[in-house]
Amino acid sequence: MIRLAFIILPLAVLAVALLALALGSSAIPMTAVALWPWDAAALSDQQRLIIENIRLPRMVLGLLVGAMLAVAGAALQGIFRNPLADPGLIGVSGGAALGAAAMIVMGGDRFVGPLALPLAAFAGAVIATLAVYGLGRRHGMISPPSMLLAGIAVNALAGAGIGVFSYVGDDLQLRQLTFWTMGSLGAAGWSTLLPSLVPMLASMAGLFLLATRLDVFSLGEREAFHLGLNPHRMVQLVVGLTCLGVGAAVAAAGPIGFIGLVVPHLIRLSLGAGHRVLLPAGMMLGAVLLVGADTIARIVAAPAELPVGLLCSLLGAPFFLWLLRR
Amino acid sequence: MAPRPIQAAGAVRLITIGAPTTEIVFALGAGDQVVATDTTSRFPQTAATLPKVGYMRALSAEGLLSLAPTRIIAQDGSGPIEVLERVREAGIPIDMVPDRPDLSTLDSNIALIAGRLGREPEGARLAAELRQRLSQNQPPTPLSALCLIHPGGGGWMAAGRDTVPDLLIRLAGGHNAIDFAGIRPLSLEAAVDSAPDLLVISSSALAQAGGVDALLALPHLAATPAAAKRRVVVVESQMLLGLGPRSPEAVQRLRAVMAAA
Repeated sequence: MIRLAFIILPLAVLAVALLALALGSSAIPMTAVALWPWDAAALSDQQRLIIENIRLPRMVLGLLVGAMLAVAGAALQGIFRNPLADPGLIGVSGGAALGAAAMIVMGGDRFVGPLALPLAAFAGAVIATLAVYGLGRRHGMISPPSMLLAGIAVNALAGAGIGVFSYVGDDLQLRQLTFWTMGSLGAAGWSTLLPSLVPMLASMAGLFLLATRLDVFSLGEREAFHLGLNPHRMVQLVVGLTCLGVGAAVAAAGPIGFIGLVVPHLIRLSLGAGHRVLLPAGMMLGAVLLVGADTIARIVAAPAELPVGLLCSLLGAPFFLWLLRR
Repeated sequence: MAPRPIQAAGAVRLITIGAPTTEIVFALGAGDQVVATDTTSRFPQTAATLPKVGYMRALSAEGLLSLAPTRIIAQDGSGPIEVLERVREAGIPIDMVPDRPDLSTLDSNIALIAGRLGREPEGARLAAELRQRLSQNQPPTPLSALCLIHPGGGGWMAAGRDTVPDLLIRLAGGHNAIDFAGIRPLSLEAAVDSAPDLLVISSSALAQAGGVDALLALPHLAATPAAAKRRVVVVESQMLLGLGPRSPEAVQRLRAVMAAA
């Protein structure tokens, strides 16, 4: 079963990636797209530009963000031993949204350029996670339950802050903020992709190295401690790495829900809960789902497009309910 | 990759983003060159039936390029900026049209668009005509007007200073009953205190309120002079909030009610 999954999932990643390159609101013949790496002359200049500068960076960003959200969700659920944990719970999304709101409303004309908003969102994510982490410590020891509670409180505070900025902001800023919170890969280009690529890859590599220790940790904190693991250090590492990777993902694409929550559950149900399977399989499934959803989002309303985060929640929430009732 | 024009010669294919921008392009007689607009562009009828590239602040780079435009004329605030950047990289020129509620901006916007379309004479004619229609005789008694926008989740919003409705009210010879800046939530007490002689409301907001009678029966409006005299001016939302060729029509409606006072 596991072996089969590790044949099917890479093939699915490949298939969805190719589909994302081939489909879009511009009608570019599939045969020309298929030949593009070898024979760029089969495409007009504009078609090549659409594939190389619009579809390709967007597909790569989609793969990375989907993979990152799923891996982070799996690792957090492992560390908190709580099936409802997702990257939003440690304050990353709320903090990023607050950072984005602050930049949209207060940044004005002083901070323009394509990186201002992602940087503000990333900074917000880091600050909120540090706050959750700091508030979750008890007598110098980190306690996952109090971290979860601190996460709820910090998210509520971030929500209030966003409310204040929405009140102060004008109509245009409000709209911009609303669309940002729906999550979209539409801003992807090489210049915006590259800065987010490194933190996401580093975060995923780090979490993969922790897979065995996550298995030990899932036995329980005390048991992990007796097996020679430092639980305190472990929480620090996982929270730090998730914050880095998901912060970069949210900065590049806005908050995209349900992938971090649903994908680990799907893998656990079908392949088991061992992190050495869960993390790589989740990575691939997350990438497939997000790029697949984004491809749908790009073509259903062409030449307009849906925010992919909206589509993910629209499909993810009922699916999660079905998973619960099954 | 160097930007280059996609179509060297041949038909002009325009995409216009933002209702006032679209209306100006059509008023200049270039409507037949427009191949698509955004979802806020609902006037004239032809513009409403053209393909839609989505909401003006949630555009798609490939969606825009798929229509093979030779030029995109967009109101300030269209975006996201990264999307417009992608489209510029593809060699499509994008003109950003300022969005400020004053007449000199309307003049310069018309000149800007007319220049880009090679229709300078039409532009000069349109600007002069709008100026002339906007500067007609003022009503004898200046009235105070309260402009109500959509009743969003948190109650009514009113248009204060530095907004298009404020400019329209002043052009009609009245003054705004509210003196905060921008479009903001209006507290019910502030609505009563503002004691407007006249209500200006967008047609969609009036529909949500349930018609003129239901609107004037609202407790915070029932006590106002406007309700007592039943002075309500209904203006279609895009006409009320965007400064463009239809603005004189809105101003004339306001003047008509003020003149009857």
